[in-house]
Amino acid sequence: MTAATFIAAFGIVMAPSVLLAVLSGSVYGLVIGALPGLTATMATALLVPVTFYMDPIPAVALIVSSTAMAITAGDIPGALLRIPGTPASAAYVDEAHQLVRTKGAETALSIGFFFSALGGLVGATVLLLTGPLLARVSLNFSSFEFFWLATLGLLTCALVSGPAPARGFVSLLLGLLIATVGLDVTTGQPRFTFGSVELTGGVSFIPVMIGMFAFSEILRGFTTAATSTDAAPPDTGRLRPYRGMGTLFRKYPFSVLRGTALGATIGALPGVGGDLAAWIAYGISRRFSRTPEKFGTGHEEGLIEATSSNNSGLSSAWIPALVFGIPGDAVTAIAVGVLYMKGVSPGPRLFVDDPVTPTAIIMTFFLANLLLFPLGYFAIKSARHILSIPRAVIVPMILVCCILGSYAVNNTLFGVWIMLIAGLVGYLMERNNFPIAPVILGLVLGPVLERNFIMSMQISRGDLMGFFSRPISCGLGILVCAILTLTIFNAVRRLSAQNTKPKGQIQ
Amino acid sequence: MILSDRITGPLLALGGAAVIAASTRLSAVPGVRFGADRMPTIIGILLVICGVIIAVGGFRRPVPLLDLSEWEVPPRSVLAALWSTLGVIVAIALFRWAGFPLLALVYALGLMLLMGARPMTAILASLGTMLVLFYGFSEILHVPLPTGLLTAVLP
Repeated sequence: MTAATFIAAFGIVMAPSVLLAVLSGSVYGLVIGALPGLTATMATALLVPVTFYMDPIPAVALIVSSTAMAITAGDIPGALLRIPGTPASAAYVDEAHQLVRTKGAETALSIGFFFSALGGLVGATVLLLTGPLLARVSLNFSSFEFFWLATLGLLTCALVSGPAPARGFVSLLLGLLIATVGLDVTTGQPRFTFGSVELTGGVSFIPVMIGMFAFSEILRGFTTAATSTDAAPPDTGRLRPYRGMGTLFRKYPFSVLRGTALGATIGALPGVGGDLAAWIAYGISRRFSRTPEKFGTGHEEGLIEATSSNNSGLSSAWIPALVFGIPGDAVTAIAVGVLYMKGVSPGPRLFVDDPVTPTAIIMTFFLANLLLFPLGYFAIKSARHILSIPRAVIVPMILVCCILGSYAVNNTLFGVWIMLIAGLVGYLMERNNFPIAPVILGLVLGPVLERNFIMSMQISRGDLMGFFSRPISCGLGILVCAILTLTIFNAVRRLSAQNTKPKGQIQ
Repeated sequence: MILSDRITGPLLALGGAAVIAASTRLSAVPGVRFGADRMPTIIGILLVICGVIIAVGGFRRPVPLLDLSEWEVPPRSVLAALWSTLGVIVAIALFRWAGFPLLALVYALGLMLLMGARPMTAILASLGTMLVLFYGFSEILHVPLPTGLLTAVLP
């Protein structure tokens, strides 16, 4: 990366439209993330229709800032009500809640915002340093490597996002199947369109996403399975945010370092995303702590490590998304979709043809995470008031946004139908333990996977060994095969272990 | 609504088989060896395999075929869920005739009241939502939203 690129990107990021996008995205993410039951992915999904009318950088800045803030703000209901605001904050919700009881809301919430911002900044630095380097390496990639990378991303997402691999695969296959609707990527032949003009253009991922993440979540909120949000927020008293954070940083430097490094590494794996990082970081922190007996009683150490890994993973999840065009999780899948809509194709060529754009995108991460400090200050101060917003008012507003957002995709009611069907399917899937993230990843990556698969098959003239003919593609292929073999081996072993148990014990 | 794997498994396998059958109908393009049918066929085969695995698991752990216990909630919650879902269908049907502003207002207000919001709060919040979204999307973002019955009232 040259100084000229850096200066040009800095100029773009400092434009009023980008700064406004970051600020409004952060405030929006703060409200959505702090409300129990409303996730960061839902926040991102609802933003997409708004990004239609924006330039690429402000659009991505809006997504980045809202996600970073929503994930961090998820700690507020987690700490005060013991209701995780986002899946990532579920990893340490008990610890944070105990900390509120023992040392007060000030410490628990300050740790959440301070170390999340710190982790996010480290993740963004990793992204800034490794992105161009990886892009240079991947310039030599052919359709074989991209096919294996897409497969690896989809495979790992299907495996880590649900309790049973078969269910994750079903979700993934559903996403890939929806992606096949429309004109075939290679021959241009209509496929599964059933004579519908609207289906000829394919199923837009935006209404599917709004339905699956927002509508289904709200439907689930009406059932007993949803977490009760009626609990009154505790009296937090007069709060002085960030007091004592310097002392904690000096006390647990290795926890911060390990958390951010772990988050950056896990987030960068294609298909894994940042959510998992918090769970692993908390577990590792407990395993290597000098005082593991304090965990679960409101101990700062695990909380620091998990929260810093959280946002670090969030930033580094953009490495595969920007460099290879292979999104790491649902949020980056949405962002990649938005970039495609804007005519920006993520991938190694982007770093060569237009290095300013990816650098500017990465810079928005710094801006979003830096903004976490001041906005976090106000969020901690007003945490109790944010939690007091009645759900009965917010949910109908979100539903109207769902309808309007789906309509605005093509200005047709077809999008609203898609949203409704996707919402009902998403609700059924979630209640039956089928993860939703692989559907979106499959939908976004489907055309990439198919195009590279067909191209590779044509190059190798149908010989599957062609997929192993190049060194990197061979390595990636072996990795994919090893993961598959290990999954099947584990499933068989679990099955045989169940067979040896008495029937009553299985039930 | 929780379905037993004894239902979902066979349904998925059947769905996979249907995808394979539909893929065979995609006509081959002359000279193209790997055509439009290749990807859906692979997806169909994998769906059948996953469906069988899930069905086998379902038969090994028998649970009720259909569990609706999560909907044992106050009638107001069931009504709110029905309003949310059926309301969208009604909104689609009446979109051009009634217009977005009126539909958004009625949809949001009804749901707020069903979810237990105070009447005055609900009226103000739904009116505010409608006005912000309508003018935001139609005036700033230039989304052509029909005004329907309120055409004469709205400036």
